[in-house]
Amino acid sequence: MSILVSKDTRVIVQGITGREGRFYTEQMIAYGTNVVGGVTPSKGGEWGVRGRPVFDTVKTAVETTEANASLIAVTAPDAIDAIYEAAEAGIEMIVCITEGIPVLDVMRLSEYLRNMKLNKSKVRLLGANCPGVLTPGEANVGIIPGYIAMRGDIGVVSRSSSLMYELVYRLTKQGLGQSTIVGIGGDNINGTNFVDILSLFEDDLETQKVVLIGEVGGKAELEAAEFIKAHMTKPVISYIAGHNAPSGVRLGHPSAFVETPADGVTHKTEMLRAAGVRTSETLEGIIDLLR
Amino acid sequence: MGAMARFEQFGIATQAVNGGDVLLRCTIAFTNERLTPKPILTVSALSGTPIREVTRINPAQVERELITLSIGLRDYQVRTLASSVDIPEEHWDSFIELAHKLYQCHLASDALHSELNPLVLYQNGTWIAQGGSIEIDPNAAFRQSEPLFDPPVLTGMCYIPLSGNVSCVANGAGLTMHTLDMIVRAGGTPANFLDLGGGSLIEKISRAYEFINAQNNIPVVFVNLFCGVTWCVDIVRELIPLMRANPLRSVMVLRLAGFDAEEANEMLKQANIPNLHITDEHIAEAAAQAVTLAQPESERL
Repeated sequence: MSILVSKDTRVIVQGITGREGRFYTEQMIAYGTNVVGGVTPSKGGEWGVRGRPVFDTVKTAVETTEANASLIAVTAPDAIDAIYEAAEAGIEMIVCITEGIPVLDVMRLSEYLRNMKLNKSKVRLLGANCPGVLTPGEANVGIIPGYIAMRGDIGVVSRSSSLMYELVYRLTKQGLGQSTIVGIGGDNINGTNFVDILSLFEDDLETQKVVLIGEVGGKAELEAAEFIKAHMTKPVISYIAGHNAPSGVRLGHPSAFVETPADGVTHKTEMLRAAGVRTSETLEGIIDLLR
Repeated sequence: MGAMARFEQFGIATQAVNGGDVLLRCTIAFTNERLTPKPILTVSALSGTPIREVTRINPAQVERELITLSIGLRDYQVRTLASSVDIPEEHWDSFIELAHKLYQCHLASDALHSELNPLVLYQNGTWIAQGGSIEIDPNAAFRQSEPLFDPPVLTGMCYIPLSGNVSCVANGAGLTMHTLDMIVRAGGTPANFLDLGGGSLIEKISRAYEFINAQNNIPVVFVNLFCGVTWCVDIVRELIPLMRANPLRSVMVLRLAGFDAEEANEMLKQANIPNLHITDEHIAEAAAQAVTLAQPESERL
């Protein structure tokens, strides 16, 4: 078992003929991901990376390939349209790696996704501005370097991609394998948040422990703490980055921004501890806590 | 275009008129903030101080309404706020009209924050925005007709000056924050940080090196890279000629991690670059080494 993606996930890439789309499709296929095709408007009928068929629309791609997941690898001006197209075509797992989508568009999208959920749709968006999701040995949907991962029983979820790569690489070196690795992204408004992923890990039979990597800014970690306190039986280990982040400065991620004291690392760490989470002051410390 | 000219375009009066006595001054703003996926309308009976500052210091002085984008701003929401900040009843309709104009401006401009402050109501019922500000979403620059920002020197990277003795360079926001944390934990203070961002490092590394090496009065640069997309060896192949052509002016502590880090570190050792210290992959220890090297020799333990 794993969460979000597995060897049965049938993936298309929107933007498969673009520079980034081609590169990441190669990587995903090389990892063994079941990439069944791609979409580039006006290039339908061509053959893409490694003989994968290219379609003009997501609808035809889904009808032909029975795809159920899509990687959005198009530029920011096109990304929002690509996400709606995927959702309306019945794609259930949408992973958007694109960075820099206008906030207003993301707010509208967020409302749309909430309504879809109320109408019992299974659509889920990971990101935008996220590295994607990887189930070791089965599927890599996104841009996580495949070699860093190894199969095991630790679920990993992170806002930061760089810290997640760093941690997973070190876990693997220590022989501590992972069930699924999920980067929820560094934007202010995420399609999928910590609580969604924690809930999936809690229900996943393979996952025995969960590592949560948070950071300064926003309140995602506080919501996670509340959820863990109320619903999690599996141990959660956490590191929150940005203890010394200057306030009033945006730190690369749009969301890493200290506005109120509750955004700060100390408060988040305290709330997580109060929820029974074991927290570490360093990345290396997480490895010790997992042993 | 300045903020006031933009407001004028949307029919908001900004020029002083002879409207009789001032009845009241207040503030109205729309914000797409970080913690909620809905625009927020904020009204305060205070004016002068930016409303986000008032919200932070004295939240009891502001009243807020959340807007559902698909439904849009509703009159009742503005009326609710108008009554709660004691705008006289006979001026509610004109205040609602003004709020709609500002909301249109806010959406059409892809603003993160639009504020009329002070917003003045005169005896004759005229509303005049005597001041105001607008902050445009940088992500929307592609569809806003005018250039909003000067192109940054370090395109695709994030540089923040601070005041300390260790300059920090890392790739990715999270790793950068972690790097700052580890420097402080080891007793140092970051002089600045440069986040090289995600994706391929090859095209950025030389620009970053030139920039970092042009700094004055910073004893140590701590470079902390995890190479996921780019191979460490490729980075080092890029760096070695740069370091030969433009020798390091301060000490550089370099920590490389990733699939081929060992090979890359070996290449660097062979190259024998003056002022370069290569560390193993333990970040906390590498940071401690950088902090030690930043201290005057007489003060080192």
